[in-house]
Amino acid sequence: MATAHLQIFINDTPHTISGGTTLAQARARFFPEATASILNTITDPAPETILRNNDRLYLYERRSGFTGVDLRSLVLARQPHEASEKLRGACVGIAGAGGLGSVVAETLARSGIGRLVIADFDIIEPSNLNRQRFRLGQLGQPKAAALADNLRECCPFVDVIALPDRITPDNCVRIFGTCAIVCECFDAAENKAELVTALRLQLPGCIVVAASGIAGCGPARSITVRTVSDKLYIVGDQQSDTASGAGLFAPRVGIAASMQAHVVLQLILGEKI
Amino acid sequence: MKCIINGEERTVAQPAANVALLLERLAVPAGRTAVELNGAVIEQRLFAETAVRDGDRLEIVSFVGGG
Repeated sequence: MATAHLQIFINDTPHTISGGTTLAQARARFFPEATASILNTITDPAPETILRNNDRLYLYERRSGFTGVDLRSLVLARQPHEASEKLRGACVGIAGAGGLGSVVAETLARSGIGRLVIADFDIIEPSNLNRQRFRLGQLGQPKAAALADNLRECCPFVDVIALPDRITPDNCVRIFGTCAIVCECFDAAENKAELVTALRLQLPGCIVVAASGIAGCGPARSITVRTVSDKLYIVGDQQSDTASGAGLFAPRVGIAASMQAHVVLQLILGEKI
Repeated sequence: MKCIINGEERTVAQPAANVALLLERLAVPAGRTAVELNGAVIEQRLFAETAVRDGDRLEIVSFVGGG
């Protein structure tokens, strides 16, 4: 009886194996020194797991320099490969690199978005550090460039474009014209309304994911996604205003920012929002 | 007249013949608000000259601060 042959991917390289080959057999044959494995997003499955056609298997030595393995692939090994490939092809804009933008950008970079365009005119000051993902050593630096530096440290495979521009209706097309999706991450309500309007008018094909209503420490569940149209989504409770004096806290701002990034991923992956 | 505002049918008392007056009647601050009228985005500077008619569908996004 002829043995069926399968194609699997080990550390992204296609290999042909016999039907019925187990994970332990594949490891012994292709990477005997491997001390860890991730198979189709699942860490360290049972050694007797029988491999199937088109499986994606990552084998590596935990303490090594991960030589011979593509860093992006290994970082994204817990995400389905097809999803990561879709994310690689996306360009997303981040308008404002503060409490929302620094979290949106970081979560999108870690998800393997191909290109991020980050614009912010501001510099980092101490009162930013309660919620914005910067370090003491970055005080005084431009936010966009500092955020790009931080992203490159964890995700060098993401193409990050950092611009020290104040975003206005007059330059938003120049800044975000190549982005399929832009996240509005401003602080002031007037600026939010102005940018959302300008982007929707001047880049009608671009999807805008904005935030409104993130102040204070009210219920997390009150932060929702409002679908205004298939080109505009608003994350937040739409009420909690910093003008009330309720303040801004890292967890609630982070929840809203993570939800903005989550909507971006859903849009790219074709998931229902 | 009746309009669909943010997905809900609302009776709007006269006179609210334009977007600016409608926002005023709804106590929505125009300067921090984005409006789509029957799917078309309306710039703030055009609120006062953009007519609102019976049966119109509006999405009104009134932003608050924080980021």
